[in-house]
Amino acid sequence: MSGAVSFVGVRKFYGTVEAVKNVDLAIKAGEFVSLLGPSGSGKSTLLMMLAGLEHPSAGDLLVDGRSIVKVPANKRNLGMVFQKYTLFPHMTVAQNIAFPLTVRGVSVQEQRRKIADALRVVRLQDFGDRLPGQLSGGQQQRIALARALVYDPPVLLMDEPFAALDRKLRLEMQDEIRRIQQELNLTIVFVTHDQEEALRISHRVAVLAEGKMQQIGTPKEIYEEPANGFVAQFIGNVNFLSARLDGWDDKVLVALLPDGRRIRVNPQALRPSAAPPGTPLRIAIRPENLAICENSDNALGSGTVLECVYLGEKTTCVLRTATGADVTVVIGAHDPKPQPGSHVAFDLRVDTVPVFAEAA
Amino acid sequence: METTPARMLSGFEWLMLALAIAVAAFLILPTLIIVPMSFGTDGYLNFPPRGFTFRWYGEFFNDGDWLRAAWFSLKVGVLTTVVSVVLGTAAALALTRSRVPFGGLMQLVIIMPMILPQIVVAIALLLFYQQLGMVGSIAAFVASHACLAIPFVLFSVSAILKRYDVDLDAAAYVCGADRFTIFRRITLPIIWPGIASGALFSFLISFDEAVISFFLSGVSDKAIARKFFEDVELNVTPVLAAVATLLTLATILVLAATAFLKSDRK
Repeated sequence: MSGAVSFVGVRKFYGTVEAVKNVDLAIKAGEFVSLLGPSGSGKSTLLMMLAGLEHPSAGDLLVDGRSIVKVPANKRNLGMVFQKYTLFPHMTVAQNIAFPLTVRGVSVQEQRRKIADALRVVRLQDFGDRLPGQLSGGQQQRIALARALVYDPPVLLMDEPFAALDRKLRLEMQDEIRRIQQELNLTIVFVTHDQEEALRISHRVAVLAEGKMQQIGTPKEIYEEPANGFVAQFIGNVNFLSARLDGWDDKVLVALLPDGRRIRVNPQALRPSAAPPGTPLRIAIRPENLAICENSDNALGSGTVLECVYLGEKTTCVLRTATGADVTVVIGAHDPKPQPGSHVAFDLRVDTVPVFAEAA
Repeated sequence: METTPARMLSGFEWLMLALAIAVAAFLILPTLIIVPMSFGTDGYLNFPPRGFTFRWYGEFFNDGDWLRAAWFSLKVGVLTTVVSVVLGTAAALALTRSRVPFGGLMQLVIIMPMILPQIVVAIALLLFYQQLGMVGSIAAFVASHACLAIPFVLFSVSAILKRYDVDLDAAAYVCGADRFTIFRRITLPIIWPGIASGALFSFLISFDEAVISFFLSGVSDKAIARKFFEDVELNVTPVLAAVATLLTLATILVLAATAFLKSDRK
């Protein structure tokens, strides 16, 4: 099977600005990897370099072990789907899909068969004679996908392909691309700034910020064991608490909160050797790991309810603690909703805080 | 689509409509008056004309001088169109697509002949081509008319290029196309309406152009506009009205073709 992709020490300078800082990433054949980050994180630049539309200032790009840095984009034989569909407006759907085949000199009979196949994969069999302008956004993106797949590229590159679609259609297209990925066993490199999308569709997520790789891992790893504060904050919501390191219980860290309470924390990158007792810490706790509790005696903390926001499947409440920090707590659909202005206590729902702590 | 229900025009709208019609009539009527004059039987220009005859059209088509001038203007027009389309499109691509040093200044230089008084341009060109001994040559005409026509091609092609999504070219490139194929199969078909309307305008500008043609015409190789000037001065007959009518008709046809192209694009 082909389609393995490697970034090896890839860097990109624009003038003196380093947009991509020494990125290493190995993607297995048949793997679906998302490059996730805010704008300016370098994720699109990485994809453009893979496509051949940008050139790395240093480092190497490998597809199936061969360097492609010196190969022009039109000879790389990779598939690409852009954010804005980029269908050729003067060609019919069938002519659009035929385009990569005609430039490769594929015979007309072969073209017809492949176009029919590609249209079947994206479930738009009867649309061959339409012009792109006559299609909806979702349909246009499916055709762009068909055009990118019709020449059987080993790797499919996708640059925020669903960002322009409304939420319902976006979810539908996410399921669709997962189905196609499994059906064709494709390697997909998918750029997105939408963390929910990245978690939903990928085998692994590569989180980038300011041109640097922050963490590479499965969606579960990224969410439950973020490597640093940025990842914790970017993937879902998080509360930060300050504490001091009290000691180690085997591999679990015991942190001492300012009010004297001790909690057990997953230490992530911290090691006992590097973090002796007394080290100042920043502890990240997901809102859904906190709960409002009746009894304030043994609680993690307490605060005044600022506001509660109803979000359908859950309600989030923001509390302001005595130290002035805001803490977000998720309460279940059936739990009583605290009144704004009331004073409530909150506690952990779990024994060990599964998120992380870092030296502050 | 919702349709607006039909309703009566208000007094103000009636007034505006009447004003618009009056302005249009003011602009068009003097041109149209020449049409009935070309069919009058009198041997001089007369309004209102008396009688009805095609005689003056017949004289035009039998007059070697007129036909030579028309043929000369036609050749100049076609060559001017070709030159302007190629150079104007290239300039539009360069100015919108890449970072040309002094791009703004360059654009200004290109459209300069359009802004300068035509008589100034004409005299400058006359002196220039006199030095080269090229007065009356087709090359001098084509080069001079192209100066006037290139800005129109530049504008009409740039207008489309500014809305052109360059990611289309990137997509075609990743699909496996080389630069030439991208230009031929993607860029050219998309900017084609701009090129076509630029071409029609180029031809009209060259064919109808009078001032430069007056100065650059030779004794035997003269543009139709120059022949017109000469006959107005020396030989006023309704043939002039017939020629004017034919020119007006040709112009209307070309403009109608442009309008058709534009509606087709939508």
